[in-house]
Amino acid sequence: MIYLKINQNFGEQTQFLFFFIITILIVWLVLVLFSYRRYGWKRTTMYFLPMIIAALFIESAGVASGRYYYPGYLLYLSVVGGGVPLIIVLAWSANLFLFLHIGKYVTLKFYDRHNYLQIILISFLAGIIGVCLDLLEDPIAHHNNWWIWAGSLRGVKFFEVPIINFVGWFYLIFFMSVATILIERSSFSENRKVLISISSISITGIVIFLTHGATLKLFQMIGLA
Amino acid sequence: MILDTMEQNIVQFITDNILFFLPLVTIGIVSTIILYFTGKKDDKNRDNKDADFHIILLNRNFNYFFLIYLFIFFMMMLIGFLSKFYLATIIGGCIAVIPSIVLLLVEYTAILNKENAL
Repeated sequence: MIYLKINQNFGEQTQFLFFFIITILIVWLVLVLFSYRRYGWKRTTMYFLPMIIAALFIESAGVASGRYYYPGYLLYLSVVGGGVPLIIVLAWSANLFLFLHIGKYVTLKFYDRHNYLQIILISFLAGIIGVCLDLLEDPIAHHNNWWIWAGSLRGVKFFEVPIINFVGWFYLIFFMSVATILIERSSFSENRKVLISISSISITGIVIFLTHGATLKLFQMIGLA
Repeated sequence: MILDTMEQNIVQFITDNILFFLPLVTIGIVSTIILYFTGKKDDKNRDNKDADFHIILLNRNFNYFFLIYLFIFFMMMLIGFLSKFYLATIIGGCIAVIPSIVLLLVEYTAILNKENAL
């Protein structure tokens, strides 16, 4: 169930996978280096590691559930049965860091009070920006077989991508942003912040699970999923 | 432990394999509570202004994160057109460009407000 696999048929069934991987790798490296030089390694760990762990579990469960799969990548990791490419997990951590900072930047331009409403606004914007970019990325990914959605999935789709996927994107970025800012703004020592950011994935995970589950039920009731 | 199920949603998958996830979640919650209530609160809060990081490009000030967003956007548009997936690329591109427009408007409004204040 837990494994690390090296695929020897890199790029099989796919188109332009190399360009996609290079894009993600450049973005991830640039953001990690930026974070390391600006905040130090403890904060960088706090920003990137929790999302890497959360994405690994969610993506692995997504693949194991049979909804989609990732062909042609080089290195696969699994924690609950489904193989997830390493680059996808890294991409999620870059997504969170990028959207969270854009959300902060925009929010501060019109609301500079340091309170819970500001945290919600930042996280909401981060989630919306994430969904906007995914509406471009996901159909292209499906078209080029970077990840393939099961054809038999029901519900409303956006160029073969189920719309519940975009809801999932929003919830994951929104709740992970809320957790990250809450920990970032807490008065604990940097070491403790790193530990709490990792252990609290379970709490954020439950919130995402319940919210996503309730939305899914609602979507199923009205025929959207 | 993990069931061989096909085409469930992730929520169903986790529910079906709750015996695997429950111990992990419990350990996480317990350790978070312990870490939260036993920690000394001695660190000073940092301000959010960390996100306000600009670099100069072509004699213009650009937000660093905005440029990275644009880089991903242009790469995806390029791949979309190269793979001849025009309609989805154009529609997706129109949606993905909205945050950039909002960002530019926000910057522009901030500059106008500053000028009015002077």
